[in-house]
Amino acid sequence: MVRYVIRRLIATVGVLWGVSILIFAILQFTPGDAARAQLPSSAPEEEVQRLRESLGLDEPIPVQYSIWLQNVLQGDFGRSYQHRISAFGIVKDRFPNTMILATSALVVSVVVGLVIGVVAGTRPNTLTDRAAILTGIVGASLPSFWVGIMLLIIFSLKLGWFPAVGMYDVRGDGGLVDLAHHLVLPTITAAAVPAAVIARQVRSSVLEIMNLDYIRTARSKGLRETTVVVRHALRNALPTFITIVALQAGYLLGGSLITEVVFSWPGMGQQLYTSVGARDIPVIMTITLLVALIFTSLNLLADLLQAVLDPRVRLT
Amino acid sequence: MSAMESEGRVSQAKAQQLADEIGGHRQRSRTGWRAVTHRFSQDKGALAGAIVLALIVLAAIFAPLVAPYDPIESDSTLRLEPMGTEGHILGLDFQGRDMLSRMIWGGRVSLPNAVIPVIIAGFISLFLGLVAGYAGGLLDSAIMRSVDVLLALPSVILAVAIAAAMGPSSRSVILATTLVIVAPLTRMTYSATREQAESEYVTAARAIGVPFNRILSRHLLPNVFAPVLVYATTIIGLLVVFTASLSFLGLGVSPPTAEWGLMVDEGRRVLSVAPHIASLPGVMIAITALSFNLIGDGLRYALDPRQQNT
Amino acid sequence: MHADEERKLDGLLSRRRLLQLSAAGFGASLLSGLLAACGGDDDDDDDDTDSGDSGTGDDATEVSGGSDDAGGDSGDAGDPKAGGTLVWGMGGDADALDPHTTNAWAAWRQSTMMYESLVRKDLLTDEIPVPVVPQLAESWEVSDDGRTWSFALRQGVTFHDGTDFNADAVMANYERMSVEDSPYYYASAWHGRFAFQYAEAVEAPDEFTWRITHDQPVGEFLSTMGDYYWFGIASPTQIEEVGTENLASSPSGTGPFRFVERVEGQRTEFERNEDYWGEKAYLDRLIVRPILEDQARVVALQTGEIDLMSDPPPDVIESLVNDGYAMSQGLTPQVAFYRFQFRNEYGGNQLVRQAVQWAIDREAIARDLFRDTVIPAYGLLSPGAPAYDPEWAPYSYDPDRARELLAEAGYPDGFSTKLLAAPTASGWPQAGAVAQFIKDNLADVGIDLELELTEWVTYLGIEFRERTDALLWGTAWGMPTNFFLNIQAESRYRSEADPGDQGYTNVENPNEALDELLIAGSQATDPAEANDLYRQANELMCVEDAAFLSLNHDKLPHLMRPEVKGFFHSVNVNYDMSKVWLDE
Repeated sequence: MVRYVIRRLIATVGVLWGVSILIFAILQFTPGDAARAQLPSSAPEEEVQRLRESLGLDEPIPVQYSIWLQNVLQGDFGRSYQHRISAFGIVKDRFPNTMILATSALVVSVVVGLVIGVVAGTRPNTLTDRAAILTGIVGASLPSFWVGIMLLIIFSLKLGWFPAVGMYDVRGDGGLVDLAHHLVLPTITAAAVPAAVIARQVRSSVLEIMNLDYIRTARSKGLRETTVVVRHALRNALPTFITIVALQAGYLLGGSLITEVVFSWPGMGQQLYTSVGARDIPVIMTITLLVALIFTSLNLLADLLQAVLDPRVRLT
Repeated sequence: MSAMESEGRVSQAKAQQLADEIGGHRQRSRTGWRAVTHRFSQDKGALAGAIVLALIVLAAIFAPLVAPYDPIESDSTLRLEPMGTEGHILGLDFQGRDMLSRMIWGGRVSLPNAVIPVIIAGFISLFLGLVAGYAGGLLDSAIMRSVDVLLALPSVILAVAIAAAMGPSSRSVILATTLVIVAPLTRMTYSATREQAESEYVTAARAIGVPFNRILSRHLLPNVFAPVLVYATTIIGLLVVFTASLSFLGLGVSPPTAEWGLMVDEGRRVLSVAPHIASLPGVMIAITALSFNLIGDGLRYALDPRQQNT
Repeated sequence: MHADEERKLDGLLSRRRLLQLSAAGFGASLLSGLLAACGGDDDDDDDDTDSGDSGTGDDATEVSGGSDDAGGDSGDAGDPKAGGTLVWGMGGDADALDPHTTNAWAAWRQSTMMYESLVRKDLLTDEIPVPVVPQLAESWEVSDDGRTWSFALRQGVTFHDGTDFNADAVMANYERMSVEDSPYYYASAWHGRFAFQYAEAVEAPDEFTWRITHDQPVGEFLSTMGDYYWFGIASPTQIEEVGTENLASSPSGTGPFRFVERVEGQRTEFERNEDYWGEKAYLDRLIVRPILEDQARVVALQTGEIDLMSDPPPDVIESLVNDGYAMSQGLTPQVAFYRFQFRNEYGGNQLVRQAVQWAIDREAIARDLFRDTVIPAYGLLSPGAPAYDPEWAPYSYDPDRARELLAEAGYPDGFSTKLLAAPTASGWPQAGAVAQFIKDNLADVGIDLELELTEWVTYLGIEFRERTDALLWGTAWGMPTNFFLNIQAESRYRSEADPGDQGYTNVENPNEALDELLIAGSQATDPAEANDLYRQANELMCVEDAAFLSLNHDKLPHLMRPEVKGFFHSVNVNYDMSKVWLDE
């Protein structure tokens, strides 16, 4: 086990290194650079070149990369081209905000997904089941910016139940109640797709397991349906469930970009959106590496949990 | 993209089960695929999905005949007019173009943009997954670690880079989408292959010296192909949504092309004054996704009848 | 233009409605503004109901300028009151709150609240050309040869960090931009480097005098200095203490508002500078929120989460105004335009370029697409540039004329080519929709245009000189100076090696007639003479050679709660927020 974890951790470092090379390469081959992005479109080439030099963008790409890598290994993630402050500082400020939204969305999607999935899976081919599937598919098929803006128009504008933008009322003193109030609509928007995915997977796991012999046995022994579902079916669906939840968590941390942009949620996704728009390489690299780290760690965690829960799973 | 990735992940688990099934069928009877079609045609949901999809596809193919107006011809005096406007039953968009015509024409771009990446990625991942899963060793590590890297990379970055490097066109949308789904798909085919490679059939076949291409065509390919096919149908709808996200980021197909994802994006700026512009193509995407999903579920059942045998 | 504007207005808001709006929303705002303004432009405002003066009076800008009308007859809004917090929602986030380095309007609007320059364009008048008024310099003089400018600095001014303002502070800021071996130097502080490119000697002969000598006459130097958002004077002690690179996160200027804090992506907070040398701001606090999504920003205004919003989508303005929100807009020094590619098979033909000019229905773009939040543009001189002439409209929408010209050029059946633009560009609203409009217009005269719309920064990376398959390459920019024309088309600023070169005029192949006009214009010390030269250059560039396709000048509408008073739109992209107050 320990050896396995160590090996996986080493592999994680390898993946992160690969990610860094890939993004760096991609960004270099992308037309348009930070120097151009910062100057007016008609600025003379001479000024663009001067800025390029001051940002170190005139060096050959491998040199740029090795400078970047050396600095990162020393804990220096560079200075944002766009904001002219520490890239790590920016990401550090944004990370907790993304965590808040992601955690909230994850909890909601797990609860909703579990309930819908179990209800549908234990009543296959009934009207309830069909309705659940339908909702799930539609929920996952609507572009999240459309969902977000519709929620804004209905719940903020027409009904006035929730605030439209940001994390806190800028006139107030903040506080948990204020935060919770601001969290509702972004959470729903971000949770829609993961909830649908989880519901779908839970349903089919439950469906499969309910058909297995031992569940039939349990039923024939006269156990109550809830007991069968909770004690036997869900327990056995747990490993798959954990895998999915870990994936959704990883996705929510790194990818709720559109939700963050629509609701002006000051998280990493929103930052990534503006940074990509400015070719702000230090910030893009820092965010991407962090997201990749979280993603791989969550997967590792999920695999370990699976091994703990299911002795049949071999860690190789 | 989460949905695609996790479907891919979970399908790994299911792949084995499915593979056993189909493998079994293929072992036992040559009429396996006939049974599959038969079971599929019994599934009302799948049939309904197939019919709706066929209608959408036909409308797209015959768009020049079916659509009442040219999809890019605009009348700026009728901008934002709502549904039910005379002569324009679904209203007009922010440019004064007929929504119905744009929806019909939109299928011509949106459907290929979702289907082609699935086909390309499907083949690439079949190849990579089979090679890595069967060959093992260094090749295995090389391929699968690259897949890990792709998986860990936020899809937005990938998409931005590709769309940026290639310019806005269906071509770059297709390439970006392909790259985003190729990693989860490869993982899926990889683990299905691994399961098969270690299965009794294959171990036995290897032991008695059955040539590789025979093992490949008899055991590996069919058993790995089925779960990929099922998975592919379920993610097509999500891919149409993904193209909408690309448009949101300014990376989708270039206006004035009629494409559902782009239409949703163009409508979002005026959602409060003209909600039909973004919502109608949104509904269209959802209907398409639903049809593909119903077909996918039908396929899953048809390939694996035990699953819904209650 | 006066009459045209009036007609366009019919489409959106009735004139009466506008007057009501101005009375209710703006009331005494301008009046107070005028009293505070140094320039004596009262005459202009007294008779503006029948003046027809470009920026004011009965035209569309009245929505903002309308405050003048109302200024005289509405006492009901009451006198300005001090106090309160204003929340301002902007469509973009500030990149860096450093006036010397930023390239984002969102950032300049904020640094304008904190930083001041020696002189500034008057933000409290919509007169054209915009007068330059004193700020940190009390007066100035220029030598007879137009090369040396001396500024007598204001005494008794302190920076927000307590440092005294004097000529050394001005020098430190100058060095930050232009003197590479200075400890203050910051390579990213590029604006000044360009504006000071002719500087020969810069000196501070005494504590309150700053003098700059150029190697040639620079007629517009004062005007350039007046766009003070780029030459905001920062406290030299602050620069030393935090380091020249960190000024953005710890700004310290002399302006009416001081920086409190910035929470990235959420808000930037300012408070009234109680030690301000001039008239203190009315607001206690001002909070800027970046809200990138248009609809979310609109909803935030309606839910009261923000009081004032920038960049409303034109299509929602009408409904919000009907709901009682106030709207302000005015001419700005901005122009959205396309460059013709001379290396394109068709773009090299003067008749084709002229045909395209006649084929575009600029009025319809302004009216239908922008709901009159822009005015048609014909040249590159924009409102705010001294030589801008609002009456100058060399083209009208005349597709027949365009067809004739095309036939004359040898393309009676038209041709196919491409147009390049960026739909997501900041400061260039609706670029995608406009491109589609152009496509429709050109289709009517037989030109089949394929649009290639690219994400903004990618777009900036396009090597236009190599894109001979495209006829047009669009952008939007603005400078309230005539010198903008030099930057666009004086051959020494353009080179075949530039990625953006259109092949019209460059250092390798100069258009001598144009250069002569532009150089003479930039060196002319008599404003009337300079303006005349620049008008000729504009005519040559945009009409005769037809190398540029100008489309519109943005009016930068702002929407606000009716309680927000005193928000005045001068011919500028910045606003004097110290005059804004809350009527509650």
